[in-house]
Amino acid sequence: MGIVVILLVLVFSIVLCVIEIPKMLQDRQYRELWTFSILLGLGTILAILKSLNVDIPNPSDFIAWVYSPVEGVMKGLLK
Amino acid sequence: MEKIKITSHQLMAITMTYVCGASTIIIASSAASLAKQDAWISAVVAALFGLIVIWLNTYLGGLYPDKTYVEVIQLLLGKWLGGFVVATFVFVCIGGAAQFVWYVGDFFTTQYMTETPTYIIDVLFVIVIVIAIFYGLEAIARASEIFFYIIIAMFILSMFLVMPNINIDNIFPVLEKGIVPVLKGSLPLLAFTVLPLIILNMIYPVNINVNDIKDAKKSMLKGYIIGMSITFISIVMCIFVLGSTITADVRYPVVFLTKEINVGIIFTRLEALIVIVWILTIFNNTLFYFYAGFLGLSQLLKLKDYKKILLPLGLIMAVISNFVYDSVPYEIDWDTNVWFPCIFTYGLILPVVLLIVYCIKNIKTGNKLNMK
Repeated sequence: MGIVVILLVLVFSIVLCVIEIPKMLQDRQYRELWTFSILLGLGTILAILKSLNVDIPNPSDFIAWVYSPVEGVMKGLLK
Repeated sequence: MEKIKITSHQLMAITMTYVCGASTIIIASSAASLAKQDAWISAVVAALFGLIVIWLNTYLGGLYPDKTYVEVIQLLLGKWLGGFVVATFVFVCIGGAAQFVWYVGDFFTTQYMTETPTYIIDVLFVIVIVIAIFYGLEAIARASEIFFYIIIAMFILSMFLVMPNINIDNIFPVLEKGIVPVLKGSLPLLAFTVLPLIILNMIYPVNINVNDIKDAKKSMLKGYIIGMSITFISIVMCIFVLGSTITADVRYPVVFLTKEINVGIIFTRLEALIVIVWILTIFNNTLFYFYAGFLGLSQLLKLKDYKKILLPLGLIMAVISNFVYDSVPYEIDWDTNVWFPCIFTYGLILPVVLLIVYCIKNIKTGNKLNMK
């Protein structure tokens, strides 16, 4: 199953690059090009890692870590 | 983005769908677990507090009629601090959208299609959201107008059909343990229905015609009141029909409630009515979280062509939505202990800080008359 997901994601990313990048180069939108490439790269890498069952840091865990100082207060409040 | 303008009626529909949001079928459970049979009083308390929040948000929006919330933050807090706050806001929005997608996947795999893998439902839902944003805000607003009538009709129908099962005794004794549990019970309601309204500030002043702003404030309030009454009715009916103990123990109390419908043996198992309502409202909710994150990121990076980053962002959200919560206990724990302080920061503290900064800036420049 993993290989199918990886192939699908790669096909999606390549098709998207082929369609979008020439347009952006033509319009000289370099800022968009950078953001697009970074986000698409991040998404592709995340999808591949996920289908290989690698543990990825969880955004919810990160938010929980930021708010860990008030965790005790919340637990007392919502009992 | 192009100058899209929506009408005040569309804004009312959006606000109403947004307030019902993800919480219509879940919230009664957490409110009832804290306030027991007085959960309906908690809903009233939360609704009254929400009026202040709405006033705060619309006032903040009215200060800069041509800027979104993200731009206001950057303008008032400066380039670096503002940029940092906006980055965290975008992170929370995208994370929140992914969590809603997770909810949908979890609901369908536990209640309806138990054999389907979760990620198929997740990916389909994300695709619909990305398509909706591709069509632009105008299409979204028109769709909300249609949703508005469907939601009201379906909800009233299902509540009407469940009425024969009402048992008035479930609501007594009123205020058995005093006012404190009631206030505690209003906290989850605040966190899931009232405080997230700040995200509508991404569309509220910008996409409204300047002449309509006063009208738009009223319609936002109207939408909020209708949405809150739907939440209120669902909580009251849950307590009337199921009693506070069952309401607190069931994960989706309103679906459980509509399963109780039994009118003359013919009308039974009509929970699909409420599921349709929930799918429409959570779609709207996810859409605006994702829209806020997407638009916020574009404005943070000062992109000219916003829609270029939509598909990569959708891919990221589809992947994240798969593992954003590890399990259901993790989700319940996170939603109570982390989401509340988180949304409290962005929905209440940040707007107040922005208003204070605005006042200080105006006093400094000696422009007191401009403060209205």
